[in-house]
Amino acid sequence: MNCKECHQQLMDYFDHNRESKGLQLLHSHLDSCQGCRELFDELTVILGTLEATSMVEPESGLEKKVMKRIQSLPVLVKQGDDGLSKMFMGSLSVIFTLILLISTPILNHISFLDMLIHGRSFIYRLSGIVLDCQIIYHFVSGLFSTFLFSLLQQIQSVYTIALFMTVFLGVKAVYGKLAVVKNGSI
Amino acid sequence: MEPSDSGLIQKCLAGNQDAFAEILSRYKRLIYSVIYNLMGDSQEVNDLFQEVFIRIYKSLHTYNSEYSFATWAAKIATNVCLDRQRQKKFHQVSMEEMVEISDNRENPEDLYLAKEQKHKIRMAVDGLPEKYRVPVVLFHQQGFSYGEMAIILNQPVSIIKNRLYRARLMLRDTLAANREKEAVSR
Ligand SMILES: [Zn+2]
Repeated sequence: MNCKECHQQLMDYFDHNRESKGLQLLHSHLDSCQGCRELFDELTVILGTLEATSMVEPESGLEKKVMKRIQSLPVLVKQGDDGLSKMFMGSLSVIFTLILLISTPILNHISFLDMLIHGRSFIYRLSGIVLDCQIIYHFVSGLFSTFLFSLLQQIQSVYTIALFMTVFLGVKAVYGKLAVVKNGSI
Repeated sequence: MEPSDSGLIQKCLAGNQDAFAEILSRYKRLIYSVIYNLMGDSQEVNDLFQEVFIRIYKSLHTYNSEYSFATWAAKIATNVCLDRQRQKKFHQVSMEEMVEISDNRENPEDLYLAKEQKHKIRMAVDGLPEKYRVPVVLFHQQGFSYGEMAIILNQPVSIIKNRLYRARLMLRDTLAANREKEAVSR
């Protein structure tokens, strides 16, 4: 064994890997090499001292201080707040998805034309009663139909976005919860 | 039979704060020692001790029972200490702050020499750069294995092993240089 190999053996020795064959070779080198023997002796003292003075007792009263602070914190809820809110979001998204899935065909069924006709006749009556004026009727109903049309379009696009969002949130909630369980790190 | 760690954690997560008192009493020595050995400042050790246990309490829901609780808790303690040290950039240990648990069976002179020796070694450890100091503390003072250190430090075993090897040689060189300085000044 040369000095380089001896250093490797020394490190294994202080790693507490002390298999007898390596140990024999180590000792026979230490017997014949002063430099390595000095290193071995010094490390034995240094690391031995560190290992002997490792555990320190906390001051008395410190435990009580910690518990006092813990007791002033909100009580933990099973799965933690994070898990709870995820569960809440998950079930909420399932409900919303169902509502949206059911309501979309219904919304499509009530055609924009129906609403326009109903709206026009309503405005016609309203303007007839209030003003009895054709020009105002045309003006107002024109405005109303453009407004209603864009409103319907908006409702449709909002519904589509909402549908995607709730599905996304639902998936995220389920996977997020799995991640909380899997992830042991901080 | 004593309740297991994971049993206690489940109780905590169900809102039972008394179960945390039991966890605290099981791990106070380990955590206090990790902080004490990493920090070397007695006032700060008490503050950090409280902070670490509050952090542990708040992140209980992220604990993964695949790991030992000791490793997980030590990881939190190490992170809190290193964050604090990085904020402070440097730290000092003074003679007065060195509170050692003494064994009064030894005679006073031996005790003094042993104390001085301990103090010198401790100063040498404190003087090491962080990446070398932390493995020394975790392995030689806290008795964590390489596998456990890999979890605590989020680094591969090969790197930690290398650093610990270098750290031991650095400690030896520092202490040898100090001895020479003392010999010259006498
Ligand atoms: Zn040699």
